[in-house]
Amino acid sequence: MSDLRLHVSKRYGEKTVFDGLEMEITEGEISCVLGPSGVGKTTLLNMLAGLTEYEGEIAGEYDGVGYIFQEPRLLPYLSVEENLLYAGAKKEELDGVLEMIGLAAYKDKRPRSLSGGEKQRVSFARAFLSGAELILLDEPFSSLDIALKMKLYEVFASLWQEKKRTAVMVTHDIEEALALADRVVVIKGGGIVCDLRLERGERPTAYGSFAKERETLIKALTED
Amino acid sequence: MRTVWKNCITGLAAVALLVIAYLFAHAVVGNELLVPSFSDCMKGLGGLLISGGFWRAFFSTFLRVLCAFTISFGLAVVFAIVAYLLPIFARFFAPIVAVLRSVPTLAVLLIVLVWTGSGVAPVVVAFLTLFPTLYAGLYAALLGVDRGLAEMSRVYRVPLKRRVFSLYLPSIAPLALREGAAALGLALKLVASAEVLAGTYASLGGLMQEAKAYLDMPLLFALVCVTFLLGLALEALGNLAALAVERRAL
Repeated sequence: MSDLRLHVSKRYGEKTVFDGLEMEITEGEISCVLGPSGVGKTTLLNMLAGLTEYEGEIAGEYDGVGYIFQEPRLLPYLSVEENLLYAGAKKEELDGVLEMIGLAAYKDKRPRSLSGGEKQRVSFARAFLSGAELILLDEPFSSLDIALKMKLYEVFASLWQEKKRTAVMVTHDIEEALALADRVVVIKGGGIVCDLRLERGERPTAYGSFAKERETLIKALTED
Repeated sequence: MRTVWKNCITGLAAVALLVIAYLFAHAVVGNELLVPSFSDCMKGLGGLLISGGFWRAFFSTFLRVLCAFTISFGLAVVFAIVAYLLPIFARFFAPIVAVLRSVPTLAVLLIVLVWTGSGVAPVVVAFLTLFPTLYAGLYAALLGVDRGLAEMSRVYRVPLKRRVFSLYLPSIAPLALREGAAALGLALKLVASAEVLAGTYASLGGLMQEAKAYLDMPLLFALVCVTFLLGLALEALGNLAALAVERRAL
């Protein structure tokens, strides 16, 4: 995996989503793309995942993508273990990771017997265990309550700490960005309006930290 | 277990209702030639079951049904997969399927009879009806496969074999099996009807034609009864298989 340099344009019919968007993704970091709904955040991830065609180029190399979608997208007729193996996990790594995210007892259970948060934990594990070098997160915490969100921040942070992958997360929630990211990029009107590096200690950061940065991000998101 | 009993009782009640309707029709018509008595029909049925000629005819019709079904199902699977993978083919094939669906199959039988023989024509006629129905059902089942899961599989570069066996087959199997079960029952009706019209030698339809020619109504009713029961058994087998797959899936 190397640093990635994006120079991309994307149109859906008459609508231009990105017109020569330039962005860098640094290897080993968690980059967060922040922006209001409909700004093209998911499109950006889909471009990196190879799910959407685009004009321009993504320079750099990465072997495999682990995609954490908004919804867990687990095969309903496979157990947790089978779901992880389906996406390319190595059997010898399974137990350790399931233990780490508190799902060891659910290894043989099917998704229907798991709660929403547990399913999402499985999808986190799937992304990290698949061996992918680039992890993409599409607002995976958006539909969860605050307690579950905090728990999943910890799950993600511990997996990231263990596996050290490059991650790109998109969200419209400033708190999510501040809790996990090394760098926050605000996208509006098809371009970058703010690029902020966070000097962070441990991850996830406690709720309420980064007051100054929060202010900057709110300003970037709300100003015309 | 309670559901199984409930289903058995409901099934038996339905059969009892049919028998009562038959007894009623027999009493109202009051003509043994047109509607023979129930006991005569049962005697006719008993006589059939111990006759070697009947079993030869039974297996020859059954073979035609299996043949028509296998060819239709096999081709429907191939065409549905191609249509799913290539939307342009699906668009191109849609009007052809629409034409096939609206073809008056028994009228086509007369043409096919000229081209082939009375042994093959029922298979062709059954194929012409079954194939478009099965194709449409399987194509719809494939389109119904969760797009999110298909997309996830693509992103994670899941090998094709694993995708087929873990995603596509379990997703479409219940619907495909139910479609298959219904098609099997329909195949029997079509093959038997075509055999009657074509006068196919040593077949259930052929025997029906013969019974009609000799006005042997108990035998005719017995043959219809056998065909009905066979159709029911084929559909039930398919539905049981679908149920087993659904239970395993959930």
